[in-house]
Amino acid sequence: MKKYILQFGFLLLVLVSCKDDEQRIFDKPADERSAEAIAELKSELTRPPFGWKIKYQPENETGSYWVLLKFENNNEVRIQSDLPQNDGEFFDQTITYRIDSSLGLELIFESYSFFSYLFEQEQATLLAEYEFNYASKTPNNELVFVSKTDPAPRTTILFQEASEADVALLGQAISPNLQKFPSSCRLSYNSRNAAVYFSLDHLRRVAAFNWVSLKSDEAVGQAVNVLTGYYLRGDSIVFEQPLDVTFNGARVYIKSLLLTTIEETPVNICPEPSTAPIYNGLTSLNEGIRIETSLYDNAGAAFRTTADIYAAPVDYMFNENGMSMGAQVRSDIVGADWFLVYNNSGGLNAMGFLVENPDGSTAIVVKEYTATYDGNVIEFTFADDVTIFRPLDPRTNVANVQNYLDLITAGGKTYAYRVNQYFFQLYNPCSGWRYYVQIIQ
Amino acid sequence: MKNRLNYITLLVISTVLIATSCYKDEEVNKPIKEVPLSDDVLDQYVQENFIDPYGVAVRFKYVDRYVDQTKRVTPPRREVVIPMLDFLTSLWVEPFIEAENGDRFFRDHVPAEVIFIGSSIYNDDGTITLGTADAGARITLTEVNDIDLNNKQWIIRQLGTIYHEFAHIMHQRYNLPPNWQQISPNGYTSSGSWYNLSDSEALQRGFVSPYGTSSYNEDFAELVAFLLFDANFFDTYINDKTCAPGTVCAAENAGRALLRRKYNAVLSHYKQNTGVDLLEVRALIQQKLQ
Repeated sequence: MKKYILQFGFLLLVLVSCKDDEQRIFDKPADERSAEAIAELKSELTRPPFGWKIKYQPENETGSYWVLLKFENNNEVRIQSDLPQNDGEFFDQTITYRIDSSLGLELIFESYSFFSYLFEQEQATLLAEYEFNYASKTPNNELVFVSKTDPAPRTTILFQEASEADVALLGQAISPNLQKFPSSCRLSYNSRNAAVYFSLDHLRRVAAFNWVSLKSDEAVGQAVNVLTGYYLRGDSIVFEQPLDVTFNGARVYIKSLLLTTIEETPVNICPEPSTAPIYNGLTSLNEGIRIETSLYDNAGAAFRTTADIYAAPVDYMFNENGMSMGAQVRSDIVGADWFLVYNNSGGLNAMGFLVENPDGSTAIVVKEYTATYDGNVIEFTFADDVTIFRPLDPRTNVANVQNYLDLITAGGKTYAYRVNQYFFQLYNPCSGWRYYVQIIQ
Repeated sequence: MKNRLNYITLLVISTVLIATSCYKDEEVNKPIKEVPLSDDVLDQYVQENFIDPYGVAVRFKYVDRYVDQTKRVTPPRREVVIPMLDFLTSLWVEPFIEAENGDRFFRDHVPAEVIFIGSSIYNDDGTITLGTADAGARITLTEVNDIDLNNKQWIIRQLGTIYHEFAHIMHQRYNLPPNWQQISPNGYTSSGSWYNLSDSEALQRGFVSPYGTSSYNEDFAELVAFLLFDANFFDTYINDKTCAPGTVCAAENAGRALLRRKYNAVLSHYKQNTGVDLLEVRALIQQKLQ
């Protein structure tokens, strides 16, 4: 009996096994659905007649850039920005883009562009991006993208439909001029006795207001501490957080600065006479101002006492054109990895390099110095001989160390600026070179 | 017994029916998807100069799967693509195909893909990587945005990568030369420690570079690459110097003796298996590098 039950069971299986009871979850194959999704997003991207505008902030701690994007059906995208680097290469650029479908839809700017330039800065740690995941479309027909490559939290980018007039958002006229203000700036009011000292990080678009004083006497003033992102809007700098303090019984309020005319003035701080820019303009309260370069930086005076050791990769050494000279340093001093400043570290005052030998070991090659400080102004006097700690490959050209010390001390004075809580900048106005150094705790 | 046989027969038939009954009549002769030709002039240049003649796809548009996801790189600039392709044609394709038996060798052995990366490869620890080893299946060239045909260092770095990766194909197809592993068996380094060696120490062990000590295959590929691009190859690695006994110079001469054996083995290996005389290829390359 048991045998017949088993046979009946198998027969039943045979009979029911051919029933076509597949249920399609999707009505089209995956390839087809993917292609449709890509086409749909491409249609969205190419739809606006004047393209899209984005206020692009690479990461939370930076300021922003207005960027215009005009996508075409032939997979080209025109990117307009006010990033002035590389002689304005990124003001107006056309490259190709691609929409991919992976876990979701991705927008990839597949050739070098404004986005990849920012991505590459600071050893590719600026947290910019050129690959984006498509997230959603808002009720206002804006497109929301999220960085594909950021660590969490990932940057969100809102694509807003641009108008023909939005090209005026770009600060292409003022951004190259602002690059001429290489260090601290002094803003003075035309019609009252007040001045504001601040620095601009042109790449990260971060401003640091650090001192407010009498225009007639910089020593009579008060420290301020406002670190804020900024962006350019036409001929204006707009600060995300305004400076708003009371000094000498009057309010000093700066939300934005309209920059109108630029001129050059002679300066005599270096053996070779040179000129420096002066920008004239108006504050957001319509007060006339002028901005000039200043070597004074109240916060920079803290370089003397903040750390015993400052260090940074040689890529953080920049020439007068703002180009990283890391490769040149490595070529001149083979194995040089880090620029070092010993600031009374165990009694050692010295400046030089950490050098990696061919066998992987490291040595320190420095010149000892004595220094005098006046606020953020430092005068270094170096010893004649190089001091070497730990065995150094004899082929290392230690004589070239002095060349890089000369560049940061040319004319006799070096100026220290506080960049943020981690970094100072050493600047020499005569050579135009600057070295960023990190505080080593 | 008969009942048992009937039962087993029924069981087998039922199982076969169950196993086969759900297969639909699927169409296996589906048409191959047509990929439309690109309008992009750079795509067309690659098609005409690399894909059509040699079957090599040059990837210059960024695709993240070509790079380790823990690394950070930037795409190439569009304006460097054609100069880079011409550079490859001049110093890689032409020297091989112009050599006797080289045309067939190149077409038969060239990797299917060449990847252009605009920047260096940035690592999480702040270091950078200048080239990648893809075991001959693919050649990845970094720093193409820095193309400068007046920069000897840049040229040598690119050629070193190209020739090295192209050499891997040889041992993958034909194995290493006979007894290769016995020439300098004690010179190889343990995993990941090759970078502790200096150039001189590598030479003393019988290698053209520290990286060559990392494995038999890398030793082979490095030697081929140096032979092709290094103008001073013979003076540095082959010809003995006059030295006092017991000096570093003498130890390097001992390494050169090993390298002469490897050099002869490499030349013979190429000649016997492919008919290509690497010295002829070297001469063509060096002529262009002058």
